[in-house]
Formats: sequence, structure tokens, C-alpha cells
Amino acid sequence: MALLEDPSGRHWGYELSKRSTVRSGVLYPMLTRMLDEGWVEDGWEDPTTIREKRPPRRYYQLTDKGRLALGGVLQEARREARFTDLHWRFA
Amino acid sequence: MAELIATVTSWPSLLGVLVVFGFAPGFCLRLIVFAYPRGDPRRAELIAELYAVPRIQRPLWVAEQLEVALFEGLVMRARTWNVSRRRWPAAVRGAGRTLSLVITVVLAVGGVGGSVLVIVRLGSFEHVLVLLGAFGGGLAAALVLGAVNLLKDRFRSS
Repeated sequence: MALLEDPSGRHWGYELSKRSTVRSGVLYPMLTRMLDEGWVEDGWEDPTTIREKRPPRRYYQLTDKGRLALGGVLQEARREARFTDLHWRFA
Repeated sequence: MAELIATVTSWPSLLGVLVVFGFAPGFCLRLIVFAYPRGDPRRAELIAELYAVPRIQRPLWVAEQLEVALFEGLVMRARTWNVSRRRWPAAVRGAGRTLSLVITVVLAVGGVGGSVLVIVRLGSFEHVLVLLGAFGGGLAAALVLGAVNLLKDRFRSS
């Protein structure tokens, strides 16, 4: 869901874990599986754009395959009575 | 109250805060990422992500990474080790298997023999001895199973 809030944007590990309230112990293995499945692709921040004194961060971006797959998962979730209390913040 | 303030503002407390929130998270994380195989992007990723984590949350976040590294990194490491091991020459692989077989058999014999000796020599079945015997027996059984698997592997490959 956190990935679909901005489907074409770049997402960072820590930021994703905060937004989705998923612990990083769960999130990183999940991201690895999504990378293996081809749902997301990764890349590295351009070092020339970093103003602070820190190394470049790795970002994750949804692929077309991932958007379709996650969209399907969400469609199913919407039909489930268990998830009716969730606030859907995206189309 | 004055004592409490003096304790909180003392040099050791300041040093403690500097270590826990300043030095230790980065240092520990750099050690933790060694669990991932060499060249794995997660190594650099986690170190870079540390700078995005608020300083106050860093000790806990690093502790979480230890959990991830143990379950994800070590598995990856074992996988890469297994792959690279397959690339070793047959003679080295054979010698390695023989050595592990010898160690397994020696440990199994030692485990069973030691357990029997402890129970027979002391002649009593107090809780500790029974536990020791059970532990030794379990260990021996596990090792015997390991040896059987190794032998099977050996026969299959020959």
C-alpha cells in the first residue's frame, strides 16, 4: 500500500517502513522477494545530488509488472471484510 | 534532586549518551552488515539508511538490523558458500567430506561412550546425570544421522 501511494516514485527502505508501519525485519526480506519477482527495481541515489555528508541511498521503484500485481492484490483486499476499516489513500 | 541532576549531567553520563546514540549504532551496524555476502547491495544500503533514521531511534533500529542480518544475510552467505563450494576441485571436496565424516564419527562415539561412562561409573541416576545422558544420546543420534547422510552422499557421488 505504501508503494502504491506513489506508484511511479522512488521509495527508500526506512521511509517505506515508517509509512507502512512494517518493521524493517519484515520489510527488507519482503523487498528482496519483490525484487526477485520483478515487482520492484532498485537503484542508487546520484551522489552529486546529496547535500548532506552521507553515502548514497538505495531506492526501490515499482515496475509495470509490480503495479499490476499489487493492484490485483489490492482489488482482492478491498473485497475482504477484514480490511474494511483501512483508509485507502490511493485510486 | 541535586544528586540526580549531578548524575545526569556527569561526564560518564555524557560519555554514555555519546556512545549509545553517536558511536555505537554506526559501529555495530558496520559489524552487522558483515553477515551479508561480500558485494551484496544491502551492506551499503543499511549503512546509508542509518543516516535517515533519527538519532534517538538509531540504537533500536540497529538492533532490528541484527535480526534481519542473522536471518537474511547468513542464509545468503550459506547459499553463496554452497555455490562456491561446488566449484572446488573434486579432490578438495572429497577431502572435506572425509574430514567431516571422521569428525562426525569421533563425536558420535565420544557422545555415546561419554554418556554411558558417566551413568555407569557414577552408578546413580540423579537428574543431572539423566539429563547429561539424554543430551549425549540426542547429540549422538543427531551425529549418527549426519554420518549416515554423509555416507549416502559419498556412495551416490562415487
